[in-house]
Amino acid sequence: MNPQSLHALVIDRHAGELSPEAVELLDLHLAQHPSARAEADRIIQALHATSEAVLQHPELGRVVPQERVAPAATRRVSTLPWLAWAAAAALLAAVTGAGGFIAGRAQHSDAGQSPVVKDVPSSPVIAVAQTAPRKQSPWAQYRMTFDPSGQGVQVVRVDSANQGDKVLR
Amino acid sequence: MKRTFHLALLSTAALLLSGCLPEERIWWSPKGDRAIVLLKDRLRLVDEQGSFVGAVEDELSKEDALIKSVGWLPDGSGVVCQRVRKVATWEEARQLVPKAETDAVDKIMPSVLPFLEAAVKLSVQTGSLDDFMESLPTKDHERFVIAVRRSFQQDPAPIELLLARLPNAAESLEWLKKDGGAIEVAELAIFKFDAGRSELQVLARSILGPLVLPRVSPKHGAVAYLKADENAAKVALEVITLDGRAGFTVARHVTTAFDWAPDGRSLVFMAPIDGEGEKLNAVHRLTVVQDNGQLMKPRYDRDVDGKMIEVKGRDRLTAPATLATAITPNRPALQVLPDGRVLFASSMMTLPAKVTTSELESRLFLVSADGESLEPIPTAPGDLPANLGYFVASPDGKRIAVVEGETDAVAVVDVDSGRTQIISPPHPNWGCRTIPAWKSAAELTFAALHGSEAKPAWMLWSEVAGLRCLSEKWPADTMADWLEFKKPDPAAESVISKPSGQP
Repeated sequence: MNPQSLHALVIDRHAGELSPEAVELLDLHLAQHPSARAEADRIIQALHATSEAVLQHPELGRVVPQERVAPAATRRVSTLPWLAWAAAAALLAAVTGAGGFIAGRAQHSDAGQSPVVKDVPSSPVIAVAQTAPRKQSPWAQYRMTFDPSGQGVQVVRVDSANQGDKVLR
Repeated sequence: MKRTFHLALLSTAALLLSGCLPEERIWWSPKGDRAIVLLKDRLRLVDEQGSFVGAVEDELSKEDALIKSVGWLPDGSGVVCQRVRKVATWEEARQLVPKAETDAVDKIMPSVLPFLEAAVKLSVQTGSLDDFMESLPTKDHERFVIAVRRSFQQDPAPIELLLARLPNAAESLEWLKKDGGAIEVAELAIFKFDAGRSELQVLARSILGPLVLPRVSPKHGAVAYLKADENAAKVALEVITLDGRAGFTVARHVTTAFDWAPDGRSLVFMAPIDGEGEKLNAVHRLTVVQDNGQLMKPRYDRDVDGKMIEVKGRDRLTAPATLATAITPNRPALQVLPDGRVLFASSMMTLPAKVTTSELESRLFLVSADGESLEPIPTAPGDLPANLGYFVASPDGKRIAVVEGETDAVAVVDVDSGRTQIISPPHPNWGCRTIPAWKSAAELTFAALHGSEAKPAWMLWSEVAGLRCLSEKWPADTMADWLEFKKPDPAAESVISKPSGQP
């Protein structure tokens, strides 16, 4: 195990972020490698010293002045929290290139065994046949737009039947 | 402190129940002869005509218990339910919960006073309770909160002295003294209705996170449920036997969308692909119960040299099979149909696109039982809501009921043809807060406005018999929260979404 991986694992375990299985494996490695054990002890001592220092001098914990976030009471509360996800998902899709619906099929290959090759479609994108739209949809309808002030994606409710053509910026 | 100390739990509740969006309030028994309904935070057992039956609800409505979701046993003899109850002392809690959890609290006990002191020093500068909590040099807030209560029970003076330096010390101390410092224990329990008596058998307990959404295997003695981590950052999918003697974590980070396959041995669940958020999810399937009904054994074990190695066999867990990938800006949701096909929703997005004209659209999809093919249900544009996170397939898997939070409309989709009928039309400014429930393959129950006063009511629909009200004799306003009337705000200009962090 290289030193960087060892450092990361020891710190993660100290922070309680390792799974029990990973902790077991790490302990096993440390038990079998005295030099790694010594290095791990050194890291843990450093972590304890840091904690003590922060407790004694709390101001050390504030390394970078943070911009004040508006108090919760003054924030505009979204009445449709899922729509925040929608805009974020669109951005996510754009970033990851996950355009359209991705129909992934995979069987995780087992360790020490060649992955099973299956017949897969040439394109993972599912084609959806479009039929005639419903004349009067009862549902809320939305459109994504960009904020004119350039602050990002907005979701606009565009159906008028139930909402009075209200624009939800 | 009360508000901030409960932040984790509230976040979890929001995560699991979606706040003011539709939630489960109706659970029909497998035979459809009775149902459990959630009325004003209390569970009631009703018969198929909607009449309250038995005294069971009194047991389920203990004041110190909060029950939000249930799963029927396959034989209809009872339910597995979740609840939170308060125990008076730490010693009592210690006897109830897993040793790993009490050890976690024990471990942090020596840090309580130093951590509080450090946090007080940091937060007195601003006086904000949120700053105080964020200043705590621990990220495991739930166990820290329990440790604080336990320390306060043992010796209140040092903590009172420390917290007195906060601007809102009174509120903090009031919270610590509330209920005598009682500790909340989340429980998953079986509640039997039959044999003329009520019987409660606890399957699992936790003080660090709620245990929610129990779903019982249709064929074997196992229950799947979700366990939120103490910081409400993620939920894990767990499985436990009905006698509570064995169990394990199926997946450490999942969404609230999961279901048993009809064989009662495999679980199908959605999990975030990137490990964070729930917008891009994979649909996985994993067999967790053996042929003989026992839970699978661990995938890894120690060899003769003590090394951890993967062990293969019919009785061993494997890696999950991934069936599909979906974009789920809405609430992730899936259901396994009786023929083994997996029903789920995904947004439709094609990129690159002109975002200024991009209308949000979601569709329902089916993965074949063998996982080899994937097809959309052929609905027409406008048939389904863009927020397609609230749907329920009928017991025979032939129809799907759909609602959304923004309107109170209810639709039924034919799975094979995609034909969609609106069985309850939308009413201006009303939103649905109750996910429909199928009484049988042909009968759907849901919340809708009813009567001359147009109040929320529990309606039963069938294609043959039409609509009928099941809650006619219920006390007034018991269903006030099954639908929500949103006051029209002509001046409203609601920003629905902005990039993260934008005020």
